[in-house]
Amino acid sequence: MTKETRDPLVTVKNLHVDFDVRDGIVHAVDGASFNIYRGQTLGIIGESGCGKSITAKAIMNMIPKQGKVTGEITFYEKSEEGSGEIINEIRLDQTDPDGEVIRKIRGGHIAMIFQEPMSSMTPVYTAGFHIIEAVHLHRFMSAEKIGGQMGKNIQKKRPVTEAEAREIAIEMLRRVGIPNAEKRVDSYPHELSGGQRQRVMIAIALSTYPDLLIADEPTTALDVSIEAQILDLMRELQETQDMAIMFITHNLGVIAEIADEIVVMYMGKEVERSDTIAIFENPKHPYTKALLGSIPEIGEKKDKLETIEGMVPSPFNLPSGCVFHPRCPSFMPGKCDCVYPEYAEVADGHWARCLLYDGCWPETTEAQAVKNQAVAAD
Amino acid sequence: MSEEIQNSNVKQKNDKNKVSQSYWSLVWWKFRKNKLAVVGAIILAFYYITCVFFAEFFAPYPKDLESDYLEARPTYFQFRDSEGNWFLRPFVYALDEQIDMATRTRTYVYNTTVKYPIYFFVKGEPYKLLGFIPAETHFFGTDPETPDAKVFLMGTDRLGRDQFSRLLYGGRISLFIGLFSVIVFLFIGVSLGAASGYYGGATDIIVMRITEFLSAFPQEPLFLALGAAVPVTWPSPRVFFMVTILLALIQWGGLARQVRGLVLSGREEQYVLAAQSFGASDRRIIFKHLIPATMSHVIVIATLKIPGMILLETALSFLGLGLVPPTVSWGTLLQNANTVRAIRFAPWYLFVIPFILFSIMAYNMLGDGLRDAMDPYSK
Repeated sequence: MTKETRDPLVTVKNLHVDFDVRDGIVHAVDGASFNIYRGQTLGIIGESGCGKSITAKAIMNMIPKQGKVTGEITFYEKSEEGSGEIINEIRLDQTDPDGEVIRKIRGGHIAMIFQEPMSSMTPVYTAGFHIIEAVHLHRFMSAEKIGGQMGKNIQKKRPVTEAEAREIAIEMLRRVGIPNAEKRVDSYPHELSGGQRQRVMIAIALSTYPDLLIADEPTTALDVSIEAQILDLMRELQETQDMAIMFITHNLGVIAEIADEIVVMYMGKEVERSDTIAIFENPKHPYTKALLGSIPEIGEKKDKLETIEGMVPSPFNLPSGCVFHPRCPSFMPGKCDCVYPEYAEVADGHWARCLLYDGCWPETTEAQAVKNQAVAAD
Repeated sequence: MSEEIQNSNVKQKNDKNKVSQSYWSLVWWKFRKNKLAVVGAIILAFYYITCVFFAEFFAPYPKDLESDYLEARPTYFQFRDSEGNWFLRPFVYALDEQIDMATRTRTYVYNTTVKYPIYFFVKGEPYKLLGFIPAETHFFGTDPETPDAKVFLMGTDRLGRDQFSRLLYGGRISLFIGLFSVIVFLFIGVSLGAASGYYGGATDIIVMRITEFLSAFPQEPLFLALGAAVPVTWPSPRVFFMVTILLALIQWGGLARQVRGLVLSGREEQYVLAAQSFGASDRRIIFKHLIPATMSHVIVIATLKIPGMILLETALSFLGLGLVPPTVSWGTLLQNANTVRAIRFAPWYLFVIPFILFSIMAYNMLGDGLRDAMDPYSK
């Protein structure tokens, strides 16, 4: 699919999420803009606490009450009859967080898988109950056509019955590769292994055929072989259901595997965005470069692993100018610590928030030297 | 050995192909092993059958039937007469009235020459079983052909009413009031506690301040004041419901606090977030995900609360501020025993005490057993 024909599903424009806590204001997300397209996978990477999960929650409009959300999050609802036209644009950030509209979207159109599958199921209910609950809330069976003589084919919809929901639950468990699904449907969460629980979570999320699956570090708690199975499963389901995935992780290997486009976040700010190959082959932002540099290579023995110098700054006391400058190898004194970089398109479809690629500010000679060096190294 | 394994496999297969045991079957399995709790449960079942459901059947007389024997001593079942003969069928002696001219008191002595045999499943006063099935069979009684024959297992009161029958009828009210007020208590405590824990903020502050206000008040005087406010002219069923609700209203605070705590910690669990992300409404999350998680705790509190409610009702009725005669409850029956004269001359009024005592003990035994069985962390 070329970029022109891509079909936007959720667009996020200039998203800010601020938390007013006792020690000051935390800008958990500070100006994130990206689009999620139908049938594609957007990866979001960054260190812990850089606002990845908050971004996901903002899309679901599930930011805790203390948080303040500004910016635009738009969801484009398509008609279900297959004509493919967009019938509704819903501003998710403006919906009532407990209202009918967002509750239809949550689970129905946008489903989410959480970081810890272990604790994401209510311990008093079986695996099947969770799927049946989601199915009951969001899936409707088309019954016989009524009113055919009136010229319009009105499809009468009815909620699924208990037996049908159970059938769907078993079918979903089978699809996510849980052996013995007819029995496992009655298992309690504590009777399932970690991988199985994560599969059940995916089954719950997929049971309503969502348009977008937000996967918030879904494989963090799993071992590598299960991780690979889960990724394969998600990709397979994405193909069959034309579902978009927003994949949040700090695991670069996983993201390279699954994502079409990648957003890199640092301290709540979107620092780079491009398609996967460009990010890995030709990273622009020093932070991305540092992140990629810190992956240990298999078959190579080093005395010391590469790390990013310095510490993650305190959210209450962010550095002036570019927030990454105290740790940046390409730090330009007199520039990076004074000027907040704008988000600029540095190559075709490749955006970065870095003063190296921003020519409109007066440059010191030191800055010029560092920049030349960086460009030469590229 | 292998045969044994095979047998157990077959057994498992027959068990509806279940993968594992549910929480409740584990609870039942653990509960069954606690002998004391099982005994408590059996005693309670016995109480509820004889008092609450089938008091009319087990009581030989209706609760208001006044006989000619005033404050008569109990006529116990006898198996051996004064001549030393043994009988398989129990009998009771007739009572003869004697007036002591010096003290001018009426006493009864056994007339050992007249024996009334006891029959089981005899015809007696007609009644409606469970309130709608007309019947006239009583569990035991004297021969209906001889109207003089009376059996007072636990004596009679000042108006000649059979104390044993009245104890059964009184148990109905007292046991029912305990159960019913605990249901009201659960309803108020759980819903307010859950709302307070889930929503937090202003709801939490208001609910918690009310519970603090209630717990700061000395409970008995508060109830006395509320009980005194119930109009005396009200019909007894209405007073009964009023007392029930009052009992629940002044007690729910502690439960609300505990449920709030449980919900507060449950709210932070990821499964609540997950439920939210699948479009579940607040109400659904509270009632389907949070409250069930608190249930094992709540059931135990409720079971241990019932005896407290029964005792409170008894105490208040004894003081004349809860239920009042003609309503029959253990509390109003205990009122008969509130003078030294009654204890000196009619000690059978005290038969109500073992009735109360055993029911309270049974509830406590059951509650302790349930707590052990339902605690998922106990080994």
